[in-house]
Amino acid sequence: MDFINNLALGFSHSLALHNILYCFIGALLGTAIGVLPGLGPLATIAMLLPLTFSLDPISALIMLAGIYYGAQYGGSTTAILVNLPGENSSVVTAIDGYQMARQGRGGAALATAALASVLAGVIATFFIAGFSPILAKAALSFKSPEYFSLMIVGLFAAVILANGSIIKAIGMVVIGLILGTVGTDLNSGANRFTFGTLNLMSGLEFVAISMGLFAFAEIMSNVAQKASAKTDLHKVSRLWPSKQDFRYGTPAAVRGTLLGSVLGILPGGGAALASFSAYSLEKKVARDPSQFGKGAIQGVAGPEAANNAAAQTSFIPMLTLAIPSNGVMALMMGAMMVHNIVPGPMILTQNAPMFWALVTSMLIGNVILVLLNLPLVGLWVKLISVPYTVLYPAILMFCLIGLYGIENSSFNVYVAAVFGLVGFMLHRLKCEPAPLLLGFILGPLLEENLRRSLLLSKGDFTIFVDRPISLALLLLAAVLLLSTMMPSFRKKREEAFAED
Amino acid sequence: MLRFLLRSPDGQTALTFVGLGLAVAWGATSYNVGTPGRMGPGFFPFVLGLLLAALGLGVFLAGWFKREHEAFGPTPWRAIICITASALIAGVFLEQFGLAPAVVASTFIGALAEPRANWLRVAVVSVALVGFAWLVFVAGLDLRLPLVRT
Repeated sequence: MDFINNLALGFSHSLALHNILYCFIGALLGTAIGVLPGLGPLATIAMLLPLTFSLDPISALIMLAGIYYGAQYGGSTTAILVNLPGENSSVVTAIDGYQMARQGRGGAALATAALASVLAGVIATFFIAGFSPILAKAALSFKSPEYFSLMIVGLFAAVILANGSIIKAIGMVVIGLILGTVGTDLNSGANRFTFGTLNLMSGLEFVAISMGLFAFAEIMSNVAQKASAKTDLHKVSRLWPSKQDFRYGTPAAVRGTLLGSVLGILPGGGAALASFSAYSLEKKVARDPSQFGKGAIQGVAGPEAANNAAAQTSFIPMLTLAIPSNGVMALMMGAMMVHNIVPGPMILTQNAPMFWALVTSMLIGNVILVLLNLPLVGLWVKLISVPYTVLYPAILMFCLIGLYGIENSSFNVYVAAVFGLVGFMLHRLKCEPAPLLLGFILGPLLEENLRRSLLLSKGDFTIFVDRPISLALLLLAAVLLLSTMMPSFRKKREEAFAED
Repeated sequence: MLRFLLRSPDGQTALTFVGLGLAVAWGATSYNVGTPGRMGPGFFPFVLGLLLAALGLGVFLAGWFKREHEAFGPTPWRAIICITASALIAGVFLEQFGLAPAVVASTFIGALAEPRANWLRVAVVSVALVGFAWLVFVAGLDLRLPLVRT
């Protein structure tokens, strides 16, 4: 009965007219920015974050969630039509989706992606509604040692799934943790790494870091090549998938949804892992695997359902445990903290209306997304063909003024400029920047829980292995780390990232 | 070895990690480090700095034992300089002269990043962006930013 009451509570907020409107605006803007080639969800969300700062927390979160799945869907559109996946999770969609587009079935591919996503979105929402309270209840007994160990698991898991060298990814997390220490230490009042400026006393602004690392750095590496390049766009004709498409696509979408929902909950899981796994699952169960890579509808339906389901269930660990499983969730968590909402098991008791409003708005948002996308496909196609020379100044300007607006000062503009350079340097050094953001968001929490644990044990580190739950979590982290050294896992991981 | 350190992504990453890590650890000692039981503000950054330096050594060793070293791709210096300059100019102009001068100036400087910019188009885009930015941020989001500061 609780379940229904909770959903009713949520709908009473999310169905309010202004919230439906913000959900709609979020999904629309997210898709519009997400379809632009070369802009992944991280850059899209970072760029649009300042728009939500003036809203009340519930509306802001609803709009942000809308931006997120809009961006996700926009990315798939670009992957299908021009074979330019903006991020890992749409890489596999591009394989068969682009082939379909080349065969003149681009419309069917887009519609399949939309329908598979909405199916996944709806089922995943019920997953969140059912699973979060259980997880939150379990986590209520957690004390600081358990939290510390849980964060270690989350960070390791995220690192293992990052692209490229694992040592470098751990290094990125550590740099993020270090950046998180900048500012006034709440316990002692000491100003750490502020170099005497007042601006840094409240710490580095996470919007400035993420815009610099993702949006600015992307522009820098794209402008030279893309200014002259022409995108090779295929025409979209018939939109509705054929009967045969439905016959093969529907079961694939269902399988993808289930797989994605489960993988999304795991720490370090998320859209990218889910879509890769769904693609290989579809290839295994297909009667004629040779069709894959040549425009198989299952290769679009399965991964698209999986990545949308995972995108949504990855909210579960972030909301209930305060463990963001990937860069996007770290951004969402940062955005929540801007609104003074601290994620964690208490969120279900202290912020129940907000929590359930967010969950139910996902249901509404997914439906809006389909209603929006099928008729607007033509508009997205036009957006994709806007030349980069017009796009990048607009993106840049949007970021710059948004940064200025955070505190009505240019300080954050300068911080973002510096992090743009850092982002480019990391790109050059082949270091993935997303784990850095994760470390930055989790840093203060990790330090606080470490401090409290050791205060409790009077400096004895065995407190982390004496407590059974904490021990189990640390063992899990160790297993995760050891598994990366196994040759078979290594090979799989390289295969998964081989596409980009 | 010097060639590996200076000329490959792994080598430079190792140098960066070790350098940055040691700098952070050294900087952290200027705050009270304390003991594990009573952590001072310097404790966490001190440990992180050493950890980062150790990871740098790890990157070095892992790269050293790899037979083939990756090479750097071409660096788009021009884009890096122009985009960064564009952001910095926007920062200064937003505070000194207002929205319109900032948007126009930074669009033009940003356009220097392109190999062959069409200046007429840049001019049109910059004027359109002033209108767009004003609509979204000033009219829509109530940002207090005058079009031109007087």
